[in-house]
Amino acid sequence: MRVEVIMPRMGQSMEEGTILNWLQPLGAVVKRGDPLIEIESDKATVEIEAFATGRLAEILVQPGDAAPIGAILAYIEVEERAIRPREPVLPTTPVQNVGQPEARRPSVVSPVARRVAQEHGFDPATLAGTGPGGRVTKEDVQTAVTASIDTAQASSALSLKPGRLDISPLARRLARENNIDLRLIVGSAPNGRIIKRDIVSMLAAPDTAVLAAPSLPNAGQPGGVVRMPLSRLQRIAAKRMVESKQQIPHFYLTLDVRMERSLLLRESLNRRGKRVSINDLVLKATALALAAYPSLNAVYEGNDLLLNEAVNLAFAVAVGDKTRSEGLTTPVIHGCQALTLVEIAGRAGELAAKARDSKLTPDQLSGATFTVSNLGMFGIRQFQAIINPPQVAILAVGALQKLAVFDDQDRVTPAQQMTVTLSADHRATDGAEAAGFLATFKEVIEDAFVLAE
Amino acid sequence: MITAAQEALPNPVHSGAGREITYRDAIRDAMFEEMARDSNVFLIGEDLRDPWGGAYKTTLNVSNVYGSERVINTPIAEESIIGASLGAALTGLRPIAELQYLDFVMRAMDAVVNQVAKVRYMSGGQVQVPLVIRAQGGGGRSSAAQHGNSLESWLCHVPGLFIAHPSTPYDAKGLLKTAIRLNDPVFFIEHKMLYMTKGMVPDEDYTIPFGVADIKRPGTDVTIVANSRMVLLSLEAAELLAADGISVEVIDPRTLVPLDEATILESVHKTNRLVVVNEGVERCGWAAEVVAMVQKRAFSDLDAPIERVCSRNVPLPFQPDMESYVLPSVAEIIEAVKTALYVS
Amino acid sequence: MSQHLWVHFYQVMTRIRAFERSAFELYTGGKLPGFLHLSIGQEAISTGACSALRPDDSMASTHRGHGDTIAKGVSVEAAMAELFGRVTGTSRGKGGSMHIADFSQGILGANGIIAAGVPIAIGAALSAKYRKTDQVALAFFGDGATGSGPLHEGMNMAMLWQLPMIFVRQNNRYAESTPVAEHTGIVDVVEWARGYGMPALRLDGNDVVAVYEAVCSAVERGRSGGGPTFFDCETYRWYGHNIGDPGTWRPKDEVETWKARDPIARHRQRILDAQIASEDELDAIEREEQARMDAAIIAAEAAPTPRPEQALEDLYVDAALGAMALRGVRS
Repeated sequence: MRVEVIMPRMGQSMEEGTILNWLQPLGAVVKRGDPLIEIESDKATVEIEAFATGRLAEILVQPGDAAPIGAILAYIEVEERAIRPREPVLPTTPVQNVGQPEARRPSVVSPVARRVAQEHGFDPATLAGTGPGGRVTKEDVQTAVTASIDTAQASSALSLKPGRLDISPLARRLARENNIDLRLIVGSAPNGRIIKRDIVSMLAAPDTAVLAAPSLPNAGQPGGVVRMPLSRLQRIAAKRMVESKQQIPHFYLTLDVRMERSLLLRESLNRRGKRVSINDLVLKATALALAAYPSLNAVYEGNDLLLNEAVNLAFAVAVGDKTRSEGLTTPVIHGCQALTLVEIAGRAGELAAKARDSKLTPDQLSGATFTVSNLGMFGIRQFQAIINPPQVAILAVGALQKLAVFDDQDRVTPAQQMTVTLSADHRATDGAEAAGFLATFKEVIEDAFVLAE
Repeated sequence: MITAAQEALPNPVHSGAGREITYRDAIRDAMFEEMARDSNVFLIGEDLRDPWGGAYKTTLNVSNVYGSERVINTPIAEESIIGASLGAALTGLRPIAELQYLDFVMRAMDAVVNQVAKVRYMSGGQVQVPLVIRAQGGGGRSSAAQHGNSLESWLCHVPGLFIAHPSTPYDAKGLLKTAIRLNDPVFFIEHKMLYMTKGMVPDEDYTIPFGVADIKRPGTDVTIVANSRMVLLSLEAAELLAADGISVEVIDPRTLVPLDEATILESVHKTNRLVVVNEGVERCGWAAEVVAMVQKRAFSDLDAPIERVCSRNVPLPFQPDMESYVLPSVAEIIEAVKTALYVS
Repeated sequence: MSQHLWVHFYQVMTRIRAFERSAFELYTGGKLPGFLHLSIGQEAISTGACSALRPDDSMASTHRGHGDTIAKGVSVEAAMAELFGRVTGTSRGKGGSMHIADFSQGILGANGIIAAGVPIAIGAALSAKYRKTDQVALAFFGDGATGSGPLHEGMNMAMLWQLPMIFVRQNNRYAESTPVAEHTGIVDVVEWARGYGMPALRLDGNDVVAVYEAVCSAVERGRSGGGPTFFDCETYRWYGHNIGDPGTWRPKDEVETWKARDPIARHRQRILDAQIASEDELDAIEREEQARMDAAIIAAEAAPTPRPEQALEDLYVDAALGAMALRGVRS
């Protein structure tokens, strides 16, 4: 059987890729997982692994040539055995004609194997059994299911997780013992390595989606379901968010602030060519308020709260287009306590641009002591954000709204109002303290002189 | 230098009285007592007799008591010291040969490797070689490149030897007595920086079996396997890490050959993480052997790559700062533990 | 004075030669693996020196040790079985030609390393002194060992401690292929030994009686606390360094000259001249030794080879610790 090697899709914007190098010579026997091709896309150079075990029978695209996504690059000649790892005990009748189903004696199928096969839409009679007397066992069915998934991946532009999985041996064993599909797990160790704690937290969060051997209902057929793999960023975020929501006792405080003065300040700065956004105003005010409330500018660790002298503010930047998010990234402005509004604005602009180009360095993504999440630009009035551990609080910023409000003399006046919601970790702080923080924030952001200092 | 970590070691369980003595005296006492027990036991080596009593004073007062017949000072001729010891061992005696520095074993390598270790095997099991070769190695005192080697890995590579490498006075005495009573050749490696360390040693006669590791500190998060002086450094690191809430188990195999694999594997099964600390240079060292053993026998217990902390791959330099830089340090052990725990 | 032993010398030398000739034929016939260093031509030194020793005296030999070890009492049957690598061999197949030894006969081993036997013999002599027995130790070594450290360390120690030690240099004129003049910086090495302070004598190494009587006097001195003695025995190996080296790089007339000084033929003539034994009696000894050798070869060939996994036996005395120490990935 020949398995196609196709040009993989390696990024949202990728339309075609260029073969840099075949890492195996024509005729070589490749194993599934062996590096096979070096491909250059518009963004990166990537090693693509063989998705099947067999002989590299034909190379259709030569180094230096480009091919569109999905184009056949080569064929791997796969021995039947590669799909059925073990030979049946009794010899099967020789194949009469290529393309015709193999004539074989009736299979004996164990009850559990029959059930598993049915769950996955397999006819167990088509499988070769490795049990006593050629009995088709549960394991045979699972092998076939896995092989079919692998084949589906090989011929599909969407693979669950391209590249080699980095998994600790212990995690691999635990996953096997607990029937967990490792391809759906995001590793928490450096380089995304999956380790024991990832499996344990996955088990603690029962989610059938991670169980192995998923069926693919109507995959790829019209009107069916399209499997949309999460990006690495999204998978990491997903895991973090689950942990946060499960482990951190969140509480939420909402406050309205008036923005007239700071908007005037912004206007005057912008007139002088200094680009300052509303978010920059929020960042500066947050930095000032945190200086007064160190327990919110902290990291929760074990039984201790580590108070940070530096105010390192993370702010969320969306990656991807409006209809299909590729995840949020949160660049960090270090040392905000010592930065002026204009400096903060400058750094934020640089980091946001880098974030959109995926050029942030690890330093620029780590070390945050507090996060500001702003959905104001989308018109969201108010929302509650999930704390990003080990931080202990996050500020959710809504849209600027022009409202009619009562002034001191109970006259109705126009107001530029913005609603902010603080999510805080009740292990690290309490309502009174958090309220004090918000009050300070309000005080500062409503006082343009303090912001402009 | 006695570290807080070492003082915190639990006293061994023994009936009767004990006293706190130095590692050096523990070694001397072991020989002294075994010489009383068996008149075939004698000492041979350079500068052993009184009043000098050995370059590191491990034989002080022995010749005063047992006479120069049983404490033989030799010419500076290491190959012949070991060769002659073998000849004596083959003819009914139980020599304890001392190489003044482990570094000098290179002068005796043929005798150690081709003769002592192999004579029983080459003769099809005709003979026994009840020979102990003692030597002190290790750095830390600006002994430079020819007096500070840690060559235990070389010796472990030689089939036919047992290798003891004690870290405490208690272990040193018990292991040396076992070595003297065994009918196989034992290379007994001491450490020059340990001679003045102190520990409780029982008054009663006791031996420590070879191939039985000692858990110097129990823990749950990560396993450190270390030997000789590196045990003390590891205990110090473990103490400091405990302040960060990291629980370290420190295992001292005590004998490198035979190696108590079971204790190490059991610990790794529990902690899923391993750091191996050995003073010898890293490349092809004993630590690599432990790493290979564990990845083979406990692969599926590992949740992180195994870390090694060894000397850098250079000869030992003289200048103290450079020497410290080359030798494994407490800070590096802590770093390795954190790496194994994915903690930065 | 030693006439009652002359026939015995003849028998031992004949035995050694029968063994080595047979080994040579078997080896070249492809029946024996490994190395083979023959001492044919040197039998008088092995026989004369070892005949002066008691079974409980120690002797250390060399890589060219068939003659020495047979003379000191190793059984030719076990030695031949060892050459075949059989379980009935002296080392149960673990040693081969260079490691034939029977420690119960006071043999401290043949030795594949030049001069390495000297310190071991020193240790045995030291041991005899320590244990206050009258045993002596004798170390054989070749001319190739003359410049090596352990020999000189050993001579110093033997003198220093006044050990019952006998140094016997088997000067067969070549260290592998290098003639004595190219590897030793003194014409008469006896001077070196005397420089260490010990009595030293050059001997005709092809005269078994001369060797025997000289070593006897050294043994006597050793037993009575008189210290070490050194002998330089001149001889010649008829064959090359080992099988595979035909030895044809040596001057042909040199080889012929020394073959004409065959120690066995010389001794046979001496026996006949002294009318100690007849031609027939000596022929009978030769036939007897050859027949014994032939039987030893048949027995050795018929003996079982060790199971490969017996390679894991005989390393450590302590079985439990030994098993732990042997443990590796493959076992």
